[in-house]
Amino acid sequence: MFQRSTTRPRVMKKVGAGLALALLASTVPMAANAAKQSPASAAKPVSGGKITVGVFDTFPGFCMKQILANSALGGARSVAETLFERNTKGKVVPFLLKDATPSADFKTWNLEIRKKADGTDIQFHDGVAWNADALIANFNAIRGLTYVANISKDTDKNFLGSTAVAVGNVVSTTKVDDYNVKVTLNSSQADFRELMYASGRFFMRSPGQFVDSATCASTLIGTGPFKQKSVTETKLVVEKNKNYWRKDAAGNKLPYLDQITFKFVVESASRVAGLKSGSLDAAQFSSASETTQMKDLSTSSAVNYFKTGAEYYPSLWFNTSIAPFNNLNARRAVSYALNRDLWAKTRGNGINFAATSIVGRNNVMFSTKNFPTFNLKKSNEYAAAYKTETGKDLEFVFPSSKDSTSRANSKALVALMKTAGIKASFNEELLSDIVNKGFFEAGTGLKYQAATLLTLEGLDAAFNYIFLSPNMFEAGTANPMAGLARLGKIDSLLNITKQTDAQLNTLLQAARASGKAADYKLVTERIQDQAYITNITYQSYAMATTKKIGGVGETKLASGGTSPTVLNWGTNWTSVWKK
Amino acid sequence: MTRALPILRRLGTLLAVIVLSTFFLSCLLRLLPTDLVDMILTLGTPEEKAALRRSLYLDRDVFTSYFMWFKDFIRGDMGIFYGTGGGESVWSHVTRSLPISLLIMLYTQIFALLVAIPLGIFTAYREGKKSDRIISNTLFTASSVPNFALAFLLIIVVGVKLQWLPTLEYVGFKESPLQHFKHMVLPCFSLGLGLAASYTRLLRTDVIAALKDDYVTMAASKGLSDLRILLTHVFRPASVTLLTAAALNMGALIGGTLVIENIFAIPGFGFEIAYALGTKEFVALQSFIAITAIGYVIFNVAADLLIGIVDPRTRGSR
Repeated sequence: MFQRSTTRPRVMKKVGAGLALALLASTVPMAANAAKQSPASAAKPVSGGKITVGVFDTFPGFCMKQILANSALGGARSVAETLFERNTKGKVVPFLLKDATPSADFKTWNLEIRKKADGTDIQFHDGVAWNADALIANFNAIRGLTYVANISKDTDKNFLGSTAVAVGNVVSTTKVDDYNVKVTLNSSQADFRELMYASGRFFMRSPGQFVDSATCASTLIGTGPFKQKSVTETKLVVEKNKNYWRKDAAGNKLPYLDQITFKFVVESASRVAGLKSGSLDAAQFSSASETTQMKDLSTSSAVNYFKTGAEYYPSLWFNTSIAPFNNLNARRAVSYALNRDLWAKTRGNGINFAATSIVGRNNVMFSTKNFPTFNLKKSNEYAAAYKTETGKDLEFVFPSSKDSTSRANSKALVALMKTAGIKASFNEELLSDIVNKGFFEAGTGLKYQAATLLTLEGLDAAFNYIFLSPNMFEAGTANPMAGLARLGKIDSLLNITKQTDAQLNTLLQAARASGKAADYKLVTERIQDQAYITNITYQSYAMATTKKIGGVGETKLASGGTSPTVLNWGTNWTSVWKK
Repeated sequence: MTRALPILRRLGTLLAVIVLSTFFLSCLLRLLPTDLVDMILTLGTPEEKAALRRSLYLDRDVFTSYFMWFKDFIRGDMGIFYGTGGGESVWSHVTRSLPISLLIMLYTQIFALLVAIPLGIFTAYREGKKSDRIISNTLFTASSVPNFALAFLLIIVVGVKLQWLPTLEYVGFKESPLQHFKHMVLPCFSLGLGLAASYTRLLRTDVIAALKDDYVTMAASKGLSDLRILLTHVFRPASVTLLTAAALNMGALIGGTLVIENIFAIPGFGFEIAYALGTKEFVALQSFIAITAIGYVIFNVAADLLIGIVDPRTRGSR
């Protein structure tokens, strides 16, 4: 799920490059995320045709362990669908579910399975019905129970992923009848829908995919408009699902395309050229390190260009468990030393924008209060206070990956710190090491003094919550996975800063219980006040297509409304067609 | 037996070089600044890590570990890609990607030689003339352009502006012969132009030297035509350096394909090496590099043998 932490090279590049990214989009209304609409979209859709999409991530597999990064996630989502979807208004609405009804206290949720329009079952590609049993099988996999059940056989640990921590609040799932499942939570969660949307990552797999660990990793079986035809790490080919459960407004069968090839093209310049030469029909880009290409495409008359809002928020995460950032003054000194406007100008290429909060303006958690905006005087004061307390000058080391963008960003960060009199340096490491040490070192958490990682995103809080909470398995929870957590196996996977702030935990739980923006803002303000993380810029993603491609951003959702034109994983390919 | 001795000697050298190079690689794997097992099994229990350590022979001393690995390697058991849930064998990647890269290298060499041989002979024959200067200077310029820069230039001009050729992907010959060659043009041209320039210059120098030999004067005095002298009496001895360079460049081409295959998104062996590097698939990388080293040695030995055939004078000395 957490595509930010994948070990694939692109994501690694993005993580390292995270510093540079800047987003502006917090100021960009999300409805306006389609920079240019396809002229083909006014025309009548045509069935048939094969297209090739250039993506910047690889396909490590499809089980719980494998993390599908942005554009690879888009490929997988053409095969498997999610319980909820986000519409163009930013609202999370049921998709494979017909409805999700909470109890008054938000501690139990009834999830009702959606059926086809004719009242029959939606089916997975292997013919298995989408029903309560299938939903529970998916919950078991997401929660890690499938891993526990296969613990002696799953030596590759494909069934164990960070998803288990993300849904640590889920205590049990109970079949009510064939089309209803009751989910019991340990504590109230009003935004459970948003959590299960998980920024588009919790897609439903056929129970047949969980038959064994290797199958789970190699074969994605969903309910989506396309079926997996073949896959390698660098290429996913999907073909039309002729029995897809949805039709277009005119009653025509969906999807329109016969086949999509998602091809990993590591060089962004090659993706641009591929589009312009017609070797690719569409290509995706990240402003983490591809702003030059995005700028080029945004003004090109040869392509249709679509960009997300600035909804992706790379952060500088401080390790609060070791010096120097176990000291609040040190964290604040660094946070105040970040000249974000200068950064956005010099490193953002006009596409990434200076942060004014740890999340973007359209996120429910957005608040500028306590956010340490650039102030050298304050930075110096906090650095001096740190020295008074510890007797040491403030200095720290952070990891940087070896690609040129990350290196340039790291040098820029060092230069900013130098301006404030703080001695910063970076060690070049493999990005996957950075990610692994940042997230996956069980029981120890972040190994670095600080690291830039992109995990926060979107408009809701539920997905971000899991990286900010010091305690996803609350004391006394009946979640059986808490046992593993207590053994130090999975509990610290996502608590990147290792903070144990009880006040923050209380605020987080209160906000999760109410789901209200006002409560989540208090969370943000606490984090910003304590400077557990700080952000420099916000970033965005883009997709471009040739002029022959139509229907981008026109996929209607099962509950009404339309899918956003593009998100970090690309577009919804159901409605896309080729002239 | 006398004729077989040099060949046997070369094969012995080949084996020694292969063993030494792969042993060196094996040592490098142990010198990684991180524990390979921890990297693969980040969430593994100590028992699982110990089992993996055993299966990778990392619990043995460096010599035993190497020979166990080498035994598996020559049987085609090169381990698996751990990042994909353990579902893909390294061998399957090799069989899928290596033929593509070999084909690219073959086409590149053919292209380079087809350009270099006539130009090399012609410029030597026209030594010091205007045509020689123009061709030599042009080739000098061409050889100074890095292949990746040339690749992007070709992509922009030939692919994007003129839309003559595809800029990405690989199409198998069986799938569509026409598309296969269309997709091969830009990568092979990018890789081959610099080579063609180098080969031309080498051949030109050797042909000029050969033209000054006594036997050429003798051939001319016997009234043989210039063309016959060039092709029969000059080109053959002059091509020894060219053949050596061509064989040595097969090794360099492997490095070239690594870059070019990524630019053109061709799923060849270079692409696999880059992928394994980027994703820390060090087990696979060890085999990939070993195959590269073996290929390099084999190409060199093949060149030696070929040179012995082309120029019998060298048989005893090489």
